[in-house]
Amino acid sequence: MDSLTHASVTSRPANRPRAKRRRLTLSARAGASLLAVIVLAAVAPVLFTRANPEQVDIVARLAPPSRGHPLGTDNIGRDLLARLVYGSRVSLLVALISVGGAVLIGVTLGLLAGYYGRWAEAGIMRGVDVFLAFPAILLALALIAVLGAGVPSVIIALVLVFWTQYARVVHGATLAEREKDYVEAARAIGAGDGRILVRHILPNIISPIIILATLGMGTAVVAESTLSFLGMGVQPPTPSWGWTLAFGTRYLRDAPHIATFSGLVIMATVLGFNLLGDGIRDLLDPKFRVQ
Amino acid sequence: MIAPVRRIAVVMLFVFALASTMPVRAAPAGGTLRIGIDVDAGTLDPRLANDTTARRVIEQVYDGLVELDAQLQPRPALAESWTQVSPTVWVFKLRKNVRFHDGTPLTADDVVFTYQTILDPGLRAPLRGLVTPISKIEAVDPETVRFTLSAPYAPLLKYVDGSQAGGIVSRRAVERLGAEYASNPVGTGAYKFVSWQRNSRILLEANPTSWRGRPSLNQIIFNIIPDNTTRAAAVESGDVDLIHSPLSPQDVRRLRTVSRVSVTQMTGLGHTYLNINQSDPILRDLRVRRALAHLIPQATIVRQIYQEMDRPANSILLPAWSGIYTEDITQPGHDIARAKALLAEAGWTDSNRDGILDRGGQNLALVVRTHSEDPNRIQVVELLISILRSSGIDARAEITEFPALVGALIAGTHQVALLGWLGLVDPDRGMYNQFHSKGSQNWERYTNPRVDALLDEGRQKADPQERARIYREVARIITADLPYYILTYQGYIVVVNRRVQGFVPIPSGSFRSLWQTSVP
Amino acid sequence: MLRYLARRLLLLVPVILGAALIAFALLLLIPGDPAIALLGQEVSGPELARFRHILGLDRPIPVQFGLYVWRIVQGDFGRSITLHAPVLRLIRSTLPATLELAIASLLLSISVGIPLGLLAARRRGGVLDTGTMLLAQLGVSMPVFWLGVLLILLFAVKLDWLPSFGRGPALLGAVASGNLANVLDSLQHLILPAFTLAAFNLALLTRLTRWALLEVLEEDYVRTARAKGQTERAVIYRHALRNALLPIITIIGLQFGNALGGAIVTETIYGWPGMGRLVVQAIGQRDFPVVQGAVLILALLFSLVNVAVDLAYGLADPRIRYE
Repeated sequence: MDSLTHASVTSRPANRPRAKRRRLTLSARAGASLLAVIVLAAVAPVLFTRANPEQVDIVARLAPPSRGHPLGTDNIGRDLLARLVYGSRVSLLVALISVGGAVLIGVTLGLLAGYYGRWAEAGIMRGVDVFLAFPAILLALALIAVLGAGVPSVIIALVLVFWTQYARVVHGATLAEREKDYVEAARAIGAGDGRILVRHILPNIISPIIILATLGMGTAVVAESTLSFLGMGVQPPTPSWGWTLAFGTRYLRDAPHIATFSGLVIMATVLGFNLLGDGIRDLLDPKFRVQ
Repeated sequence: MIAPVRRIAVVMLFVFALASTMPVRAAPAGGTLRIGIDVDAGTLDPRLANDTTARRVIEQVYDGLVELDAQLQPRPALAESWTQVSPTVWVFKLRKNVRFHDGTPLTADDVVFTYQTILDPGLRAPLRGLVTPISKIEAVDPETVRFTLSAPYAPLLKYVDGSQAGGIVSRRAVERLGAEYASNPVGTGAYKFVSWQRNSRILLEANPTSWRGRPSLNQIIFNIIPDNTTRAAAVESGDVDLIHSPLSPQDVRRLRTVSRVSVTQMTGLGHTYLNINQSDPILRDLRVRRALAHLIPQATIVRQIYQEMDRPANSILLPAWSGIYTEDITQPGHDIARAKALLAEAGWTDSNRDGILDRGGQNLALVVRTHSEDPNRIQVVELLISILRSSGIDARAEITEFPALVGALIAGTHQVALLGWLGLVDPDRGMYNQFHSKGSQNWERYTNPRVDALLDEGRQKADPQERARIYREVARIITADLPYYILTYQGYIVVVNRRVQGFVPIPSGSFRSLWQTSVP
Repeated sequence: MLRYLARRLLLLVPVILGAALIAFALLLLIPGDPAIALLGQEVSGPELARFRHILGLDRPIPVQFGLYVWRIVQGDFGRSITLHAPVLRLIRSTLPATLELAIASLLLSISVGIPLGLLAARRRGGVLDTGTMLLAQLGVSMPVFWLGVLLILLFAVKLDWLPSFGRGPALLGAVASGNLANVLDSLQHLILPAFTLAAFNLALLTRLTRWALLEVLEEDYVRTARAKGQTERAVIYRHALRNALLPIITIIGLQFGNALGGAIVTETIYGWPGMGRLVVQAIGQRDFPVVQGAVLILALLFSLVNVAVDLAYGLADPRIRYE
């Protein structure tokens, strides 16, 4: 959750353009493959397991991996593989919607602030500063305390935590773009502000948004699991990685497989997004730095 | 040659004499006891205390008029003796020469002040309800206190115990410190308060002039370690000397194999139960409540989740209530076929064949709540949810922190909630406020005139046989009506480092024996 | 310099006001009566009305906010519902522990992360570089609480080298008193939580140091230095490192903020008696005066750190002048 960090951009000295790579790096492709497997698990879980994630066999609780349960069972005897396979749905869903929401809000406000300047800019960017003044997890926790635990609250909290990085980056990029010739040209042929923003400026600043969003997905996965660990996330019986891992840590000594496998799945997903995000950056915009 | 030897002997004698009379701070004779405890105290004012940690600390720092022994029988504490002058008048004779930690003497005035402030609604004392039958309290002389009751009140002696409602505060200290008294307690107990680091530790030291005599320990440290498993690991590695319930069964099982510690298990003074809201449109129907009870695999839960740490419960009567408890009163047993029949009888069938029972176009939906602090209860709820779902009930869990759960119970917005009662020293304590239609903790909205009458009668009867008859009848009615389903009798478990000597566990969870405990 | 500082601090005012607005708005978002949220469930009717009036909760919302800010300015953060103590005192008594943890973790990540990054950069493409980068990638991907629990299990329980929970004597106090046993005790308690909290930042800093150094090494002046026949060592330490320091300082500042936030999770795992524990517990107990106070104080601290980073940035880069 430390990784719920603020983004800022530094350009590296641009005096020597690096040769553009046309393909993703090897590690980025490895990341993409990892993610492909996880997305497949969310979309078509039956490819991975026939077991029902809600089927309880209390007598077989905390059982180590076996033929019947390839990854063992969880604290009330459900098949761990099935829990993790179906759990990918919540994790990816939360990540997708919260990052999507943050992009929508952040990009819109960033464009408005950068393009119109003056009051819009001052208001929006002061708002960004205010949100950035909080440690992200504290903001998320406080919001969930108010809204109550559950998937919708987690998503709302994460959107409110994440939107600022997009607003900041888009604001900076729009400032640079609005002075360029093509914007002038578009205006000259009578394009309205909305059209200029969406059809002209946005496509030119899309790269950092894609990079940030890819990396942000990984952050969101960790964030969801951390909130579930603190008891403020997804509620049972919905299968969730964070919940499974939180409970697994209680049985670390008697049934280490629970925490091990659920921790590994979270880590693999985050790793996938990070590798892919780094790769996309190298491909699209090597000057862009996310911190 | 003789003279020097004698001189040495005299010096030695003198040193010994000094050592035995002076409180030695540096080299503790009785040592330090480090306790691992689950939550931080909210306040250390005994009148306001509302959590188990506060009670454990308060029973070291304060004394009540009486204290309950392991058999729950009252024995003298600050009151040397007492007499029931009439059915509604009690007179307590105070022990002489008892002093508060600040050196001021204990007088009848302090006792009167303590109870008067508890009875004052403005103080908001959480256990005020236990002493409301006291209509008048007065100091007859500096060593005598008289309680006048509005009606005969059998459990009074149990509630004036120092670890229940009755720790006696120093009037002068309360008036001097005001709100700060809550974090600077001044009592008469065997240990004095030294410091309190929020969320970390509470430090006590021996009160050498305690009326009980000098305690064996020099220091007690309460370390606050919220996570069950971390707390178990701390006693296992020797970072603390003593932990007790709540514990997780897998940790208890492992600790039994650790040579450094000894594990004591006994039946406690609490139970874990389902609170079933009688005003809920679905659960108002007794058949649905009975079906719910039939669906609960009680024996399996106790064996698998609690791993025999708790016992399967028969009824609301606790085994510790000797003379009143009986095995003859039992709740509906595990019987899925019967449950399904009952639900069908109540009109809940799967008419649209979607796998979920419905009636008049409405699905049978239940939310089972519990609190996130207790991993055992979370697992029970997870299991129940899965069983209810496989029986065609659209069940969901809602797991929140304890205050949010209690908030929902007070508001009556819950359907079914899993939680527990602790420290039920008397049947009155376990039933009156819970089932009386005017009871302060009747969160299930249960009303039954017969039960009201019985509970009122029970308060007035001192005769053991009468009490047994009354409370058994209440238990039978509760078992039939099911406002509560009692899941387990809570076990009480203490894990102590073998270095610790003289600690006697008490089922109520009290640490009262600490005044004679030592750590060499 | 001083004028710049004054201006930066002045710019903080609207930010802190905004933070206060959010802290205030939290209370409006709670379903139910804010007076009950502030005072606790068992307050009776007339008393509630009295407090509602004292707190101004019967006034229009903008006025309420004004009153809230006015109380904050006077240092009145309210009283905790569950802990029966003034919020400010609770924060004051827990903040040092959090700062100790955050600073220790920061020092750890700097003292390990920068050398590791340097090493990786010097051996670019080698086994050491690949290994370090792999570890760093894992480090940024690993859930903090998972790492914490694994460390407790290994070092406190299995090996029994370190205590499993809590804080020893305050480190600064122990060092000042010169009591070696206390210093040791304090360090023993500190090491696991500090490392857990540092892991993510450490991995990030390693990656950034390597990246920054490789960037600088491509610069012309570095080539010149090389061409002049200076040793690789001298090139790195005399020329490259100083310039690579700028992005590193930026990120260290951000990391201190991260550490304050991360402490919330770490303190919960290790039972560290800091503000993180206080606030998590307050959230669980619905103790809103404490939540509001902690949110606001942390925001203030966080913002001050950012100002400090900007100043440090200028000291490291002679090209930047404060006007």
